[in-house]
Amino acid sequence: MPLLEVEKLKTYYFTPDSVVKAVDGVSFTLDKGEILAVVGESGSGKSTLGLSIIRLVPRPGKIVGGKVVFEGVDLVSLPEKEMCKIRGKKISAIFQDPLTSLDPLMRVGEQIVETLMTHFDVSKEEARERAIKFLEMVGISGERFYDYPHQFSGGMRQRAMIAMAIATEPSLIIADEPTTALDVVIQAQIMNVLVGLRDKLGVSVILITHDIALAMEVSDKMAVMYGGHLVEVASSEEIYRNPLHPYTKALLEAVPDVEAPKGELKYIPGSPPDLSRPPPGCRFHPRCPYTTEKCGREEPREVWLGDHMVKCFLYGGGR
Amino acid sequence: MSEILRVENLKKYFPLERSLVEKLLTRRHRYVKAVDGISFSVKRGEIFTLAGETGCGKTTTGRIILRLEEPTSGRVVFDGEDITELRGEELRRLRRRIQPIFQDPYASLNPRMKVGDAIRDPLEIHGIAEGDDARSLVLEMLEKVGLTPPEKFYDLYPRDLSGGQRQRVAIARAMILKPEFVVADEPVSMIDVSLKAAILELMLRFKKELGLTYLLITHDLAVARYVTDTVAVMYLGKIVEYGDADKVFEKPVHPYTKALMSAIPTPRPKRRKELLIKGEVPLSPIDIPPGCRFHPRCPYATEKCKREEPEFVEVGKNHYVACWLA
Repeated sequence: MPLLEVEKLKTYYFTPDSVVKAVDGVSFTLDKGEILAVVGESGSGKSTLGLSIIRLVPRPGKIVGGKVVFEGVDLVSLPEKEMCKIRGKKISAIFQDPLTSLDPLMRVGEQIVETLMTHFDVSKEEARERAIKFLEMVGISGERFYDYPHQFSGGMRQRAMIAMAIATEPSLIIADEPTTALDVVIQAQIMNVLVGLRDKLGVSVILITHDIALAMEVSDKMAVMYGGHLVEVASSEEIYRNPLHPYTKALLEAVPDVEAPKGELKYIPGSPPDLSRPPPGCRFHPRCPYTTEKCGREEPREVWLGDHMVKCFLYGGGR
Repeated sequence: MSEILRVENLKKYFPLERSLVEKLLTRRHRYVKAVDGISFSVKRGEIFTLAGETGCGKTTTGRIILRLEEPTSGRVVFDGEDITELRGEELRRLRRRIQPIFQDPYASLNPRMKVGDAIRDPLEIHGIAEGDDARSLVLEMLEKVGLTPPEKFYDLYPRDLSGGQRQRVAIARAMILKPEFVVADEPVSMIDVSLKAAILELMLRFKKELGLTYLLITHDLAVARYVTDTVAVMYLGKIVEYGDADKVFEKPVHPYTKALMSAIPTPRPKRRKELLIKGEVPLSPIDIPPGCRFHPRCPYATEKCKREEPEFVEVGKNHYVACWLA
């Protein structure tokens, strides 16, 4: 049984003028110890997907359909009180900006202690020992336990966030652009920490990112999101060697690669859809080089080629 | 190619705020040495890239060249003239020749000004055109940057546009003055990956049309590699390696450049590599390490590196490195 099964999940934002269908029927599964990268551009709905799984969608957003089955339990229908026991304990989240996630007036170590004492029946002393253990696991000396967030660099704050996220020994970490605000060297260090923790603790990770190169390097599996839909899901190896969806193909050609011979950088004409007025049919059809009349009329279904899912009429996908 | 811009031993020190106690004790001012003695030369018609991480001084350098910041010392020679002392009318004439493009088109455009008026503004400020003439120049420019139909885009506000479209407006606003030199500070960093190349292509088209020279300022070496002719890599206010972009990017010599290149993700599965760098950039460049400022993070540092600052050595034709090991 997979650790997480997301089925036809729909999360919409209800604004006075329109309904923004940020996540519009998304399905995927995640195994224990697996790193899944959800990649997409701004406005593709990838962050809303992450927030939906831990049920932190801000108003006026609402989960309007589908299931999020985690360890056999559907989180969508769970009472909030029960959800509180899972959120922050069995499922942790790390966001882009650690400065807004950490309390500036509280010592970093104490914040981890607080989290531990909320979720476990432990003494303050035990919680402190455990907090230090996890700080050291992410490469922060235990001596920094009594520091305040402002005394940390950006990279250290994000390490502290990771320490806090893993201190409850969760089975799933949702990391939404965890290194986007950081320099590339620090990014590589943080990613090594995250992958190391997966190797050591067997935790599963959903990495949400716009950085396809980064996703490719660290993930086992990739889910490509476009206009609120997952258009392709497969192992990262498979996406690299055999991308199927025209959007995935075009995206990979647009990624700068420092190691490849210097060629021409390509781009995708047009711009991503406005999710309050998505185009009919396949949401990529206005920008797709292979578009047919059918693509503008009908929405393609999921096509499974072995373990490789693609939503495109080029591979079947009709009714 | 002739030289268009030369920077000579440029320094910019920002004094730190002193507390009352420090003032009473008449402690000395302490400084953040954002730019600490850099020199480089940009040839007419090339794309020169200043690359480095947050806090290396690349943006401050750009702002000094744009005359948005006064240097502590050093000279900026543009087309044979030191521009650091220009005032009044002379400065205004210079601004027409050197234009900026910034990272964040949300912040660089006035939200209450119609897009067309934002592009038209420089024309009127510099007395190039007004009235219907100005309007037709703006419409022509909107068309050129791909915001069509131009009549429609003229009357829109920045909030009606996507990030990519806003950056096109910012480019139009810079290009309408037909500048000779453009300082582009992270012009595509906030642009979605599917559109980065489109914005770069637009910048290159203007380069061809106007015979422009670009100073590109970026942390993104992966993108820089596609367009750069000459690159200077900065670390803590100093240039550590510079020269022909192809040489620096393909065969970096300085341990910092190597580490930076090795840390860039490449779109290939399962390729975590060992990092050739220790620790982080110091929290603030106040206490600069003695000797080579990279030595505390360098895996190859020797005793000499801790004591003496390395000078540039030529490691290949037009390829210079400041490192004792080079």
